[in-house]
Amino acid sequence: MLNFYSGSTRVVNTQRGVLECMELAMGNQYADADLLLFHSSVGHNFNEIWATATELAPDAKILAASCCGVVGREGVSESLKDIALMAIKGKEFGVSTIDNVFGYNSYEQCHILATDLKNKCEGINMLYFMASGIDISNDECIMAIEYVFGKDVTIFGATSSDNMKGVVSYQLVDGNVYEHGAFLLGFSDATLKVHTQATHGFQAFGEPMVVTKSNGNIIEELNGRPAWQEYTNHLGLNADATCGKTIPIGALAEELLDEQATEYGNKHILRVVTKHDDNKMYYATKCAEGTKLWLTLRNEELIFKEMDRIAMNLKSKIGERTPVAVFHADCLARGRFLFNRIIKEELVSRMQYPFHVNGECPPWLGIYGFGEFARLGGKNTYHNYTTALYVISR
Amino acid sequence: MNQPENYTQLLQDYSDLQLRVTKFSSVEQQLINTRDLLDSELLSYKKLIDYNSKVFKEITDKAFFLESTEAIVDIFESDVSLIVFDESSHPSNMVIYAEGMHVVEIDRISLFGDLYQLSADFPASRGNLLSGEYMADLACMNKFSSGVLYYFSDAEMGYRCYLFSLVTKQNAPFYNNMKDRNETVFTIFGQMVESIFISRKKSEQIKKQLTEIEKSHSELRKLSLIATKTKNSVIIADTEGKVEWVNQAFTDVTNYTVEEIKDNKLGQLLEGAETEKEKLHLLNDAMTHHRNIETVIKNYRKNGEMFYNQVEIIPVFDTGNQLVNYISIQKDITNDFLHKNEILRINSRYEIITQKSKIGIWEFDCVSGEHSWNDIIINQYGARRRDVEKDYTAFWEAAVYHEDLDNVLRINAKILSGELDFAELQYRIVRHDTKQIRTLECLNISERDRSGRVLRLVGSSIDITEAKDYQETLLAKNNELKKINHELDRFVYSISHDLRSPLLSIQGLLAIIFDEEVLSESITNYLKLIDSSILRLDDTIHEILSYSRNSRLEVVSEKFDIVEMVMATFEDIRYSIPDKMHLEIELEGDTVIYSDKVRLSTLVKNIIGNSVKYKKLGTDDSYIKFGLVNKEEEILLKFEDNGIGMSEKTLSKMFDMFYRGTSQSTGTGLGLYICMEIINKLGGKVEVKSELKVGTVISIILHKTSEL
Repeated sequence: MLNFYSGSTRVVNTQRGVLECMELAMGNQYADADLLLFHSSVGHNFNEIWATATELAPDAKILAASCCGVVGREGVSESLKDIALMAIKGKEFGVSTIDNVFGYNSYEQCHILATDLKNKCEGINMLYFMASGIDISNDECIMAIEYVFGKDVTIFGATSSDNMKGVVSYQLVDGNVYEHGAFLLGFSDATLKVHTQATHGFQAFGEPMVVTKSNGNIIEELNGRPAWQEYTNHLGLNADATCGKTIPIGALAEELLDEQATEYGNKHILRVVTKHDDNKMYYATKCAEGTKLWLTLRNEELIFKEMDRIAMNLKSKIGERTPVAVFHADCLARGRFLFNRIIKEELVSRMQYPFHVNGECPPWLGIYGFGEFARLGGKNTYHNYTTALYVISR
Repeated sequence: MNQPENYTQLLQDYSDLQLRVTKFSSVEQQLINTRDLLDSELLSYKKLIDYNSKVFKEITDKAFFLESTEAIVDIFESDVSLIVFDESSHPSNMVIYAEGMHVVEIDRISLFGDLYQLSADFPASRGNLLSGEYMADLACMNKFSSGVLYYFSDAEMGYRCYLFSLVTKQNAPFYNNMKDRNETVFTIFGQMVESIFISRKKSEQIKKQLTEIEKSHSELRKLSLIATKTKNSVIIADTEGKVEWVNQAFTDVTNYTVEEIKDNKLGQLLEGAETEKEKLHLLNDAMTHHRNIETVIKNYRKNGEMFYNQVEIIPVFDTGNQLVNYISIQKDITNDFLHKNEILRINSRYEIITQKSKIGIWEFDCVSGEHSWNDIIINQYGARRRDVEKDYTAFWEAAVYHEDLDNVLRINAKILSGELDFAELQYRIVRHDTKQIRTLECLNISERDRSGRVLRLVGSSIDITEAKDYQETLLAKNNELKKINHELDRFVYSISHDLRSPLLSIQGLLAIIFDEEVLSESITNYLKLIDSSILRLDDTIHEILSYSRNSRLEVVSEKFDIVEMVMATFEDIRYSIPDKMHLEIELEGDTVIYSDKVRLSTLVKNIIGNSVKYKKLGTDDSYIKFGLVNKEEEILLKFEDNGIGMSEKTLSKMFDMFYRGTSQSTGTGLGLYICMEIINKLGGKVEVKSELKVGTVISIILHKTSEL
């Protein structure tokens, strides 16, 4: 039976950061951990994270991913020195990893990844997926994983990021630090269930841009014009603007089916562009020609309202079961580049409170990344610009 | 017609409106970013304040600087922070603290050069932006793309301190370049670090001073306690030498109370008739010149009793070197003084004894390895002290005669190992100067601690070369003499036997002639003279044989009645004279004794024979009184006669060989000599008293021998 423990901190020194997380999570019992899953800002050295964690818990499987900030039971933090941990005790899990996952080979690589995990571990009933958030076709990742495990196995997780520069993101598995890697963590504890839901609270407006030329996840032309130029022009930015400039204001919206829109609380699902190569835009999913993409406006009131709605919705789905851990993925554009600290902390508090057990927040590991995986309309779905909650209950 | 135009216009307006909305989003985002920046600024200042309050708690410089390196990264969101503290202007001694990079990876020499360059190019005590272009020319810091520097120094305390907030080229994409804002905030931070560091230093100095004060107080308390409790007298006097305070020990020694001695000059009340004036002068002189002085002086207690006082006077100065007090520590060393004198006297005697007896003394401290030899032992080795002092062991081993060395080393090893406590040994040495071989008689002794570990070896050494030679010569001569004596005895014995046989033949022939021949009177007289001469010669040979037998034969003890022996001997001899003579016997104890019967018979025969032979002529009242006292351990034989007696001259020579008291004496001169030899052989003593014309008393004491 799996047991979960969490801790998060903001400490400049990497070694002390790791130790502090482990102590917050497990007291002085951290050497007994079987799995350590870290989320860390890019200001920490990932090799040092691994070395320190290995020394403190020699028998534990160690995973980590870079992010723009973390959310834990201790609160929210977005700096270059954040680190958060979900520690797990128990043997009912399996991990697989793979390097060189890009937009053009996302399906193939994730198929290998999922197959490997399937072979390693039986009885997996939920999957935590973490991949690079740059130049990846996330919907194809989902398809490949579903192909191996079936569509009923929930995929939750996020894509790793840097501090919204769109330069690089890191994935760490067993001492190897990848920049375009992915890992798949499968849970096989039959006593556990996971419920997921995502929401963004953005509003599409105006006339959509139409994808007139694309190649997989790369959009080459919008409205018959070079894609990046058209995109930045619509945002009122120059074409030399970086992704760091476009990400906060440039969420692109695709229209959802009506039944999905009801559950989602919005008619559109959002997509992020994390990389551009001249005028080629690296979209987060495969994007067919003819796809309409709306620009969006952020609606603070709607964000809060939607946040409360999905929290209550998840609470309702859990029913009498007890939340034993909450994984949480948030878009980095919804952090310090949208809300000030007070509002952000208020938002996090409101998403955590419904899951408190005996007045205490359950183990919580949240990440500010590039993208989020959560079910929508009964299907595993990739999201951007959302808050996605994954409540594991027993 | 207008509708399409209006529609197109509307579309254009709609598009413009949409663009304005997105531009509004962009502007809104800029506002959000600005707000975030302001928030970040506020947070930075909050962190500065937090740092300020936190770092004050750090106890050590190391913790302070480590906290500061973390603060730099935290506040300035930089990739790397670096603090270099240099107190010695030497690369290897620089203390480097870093966050975001490993100190061991830093090339100290290159960094030292960079710091020198930075000090030349940028002003101290303010934030200085460092561009990637500038740092590209530096040896150690060319790996950074941007940074900000603050440094401060204190020439008086001799340190320089550099603070850096840096971004590496590798991680530059994640970090904002250092800007003017950073320069300003880093100035604030640097000034904060500088002022805190200076405060720390001052605080350290104050703490140090407080510690010293506390230590002084503590020492003062201890000293006060010591001064009160010590058995030595302690006197505190003012700058004029007037007593302010004395401890109980002073009162115990001198019988003066504090009240009695207060305001008197130091030592004034203790002076007396025998107090040495010159020492008083020395004490006064030292106090006048504020010098320490220590001496022993004769002082007097209140009751007038003199005592030897060991006095030390110490002037006490304040921090401004002004005299504030005198402290005098005094000790009654009368007993020590007397004992010391006694020890010195004994030592002096001992020195004289060793010098006169020519005993060399040496000592070896096993713990320190130090040797000491006195001058005598150095002289025994024919060396100068400097020859020996280079290496005592090497010198000694070289000096010991090669045939004796192994044995001496083996014995010394046993002493050193504790196997032997001491050893007496003789060995030969070769003198250093004359190369003469000398023999030393040595005693080596070990001193041990309670655990039995050997601490020290001490030893004596006597040069016995001459004594040994003399002993050996004497022994050889003695052996030679014994051999001669033995041969002489054999000669005497054999010659006596050889002589006696023909004499007995002649005697036999004379007897036949007297019995069977009718001889003329003159021939008869001649033959009688021959017979008489033969008898004397036979007596002589007989006595020589007695002497020889006495010297050759072992003492053989047996039981016999001494009185019977004396009476039989007297009876045999009394008729050899014409006059009457009688024997008187006085007895005390048993007449049966245990001794050498043959020898005693010869002794008794000689003594009684002399009494008979030298009786007064023409009188019939001559007597011999024999006394016997048989005690538990000894036997006293006393022979007294009233014969002609002996002069003092005769008395002194009566036991000499071949001595005869008068020319008329008919004896051989061997009788009493043999008596003395017998007495000596029996371990006895003899005493002779004699007076001319009165008589002679011979007393013989014999030790009883065991019957078994």
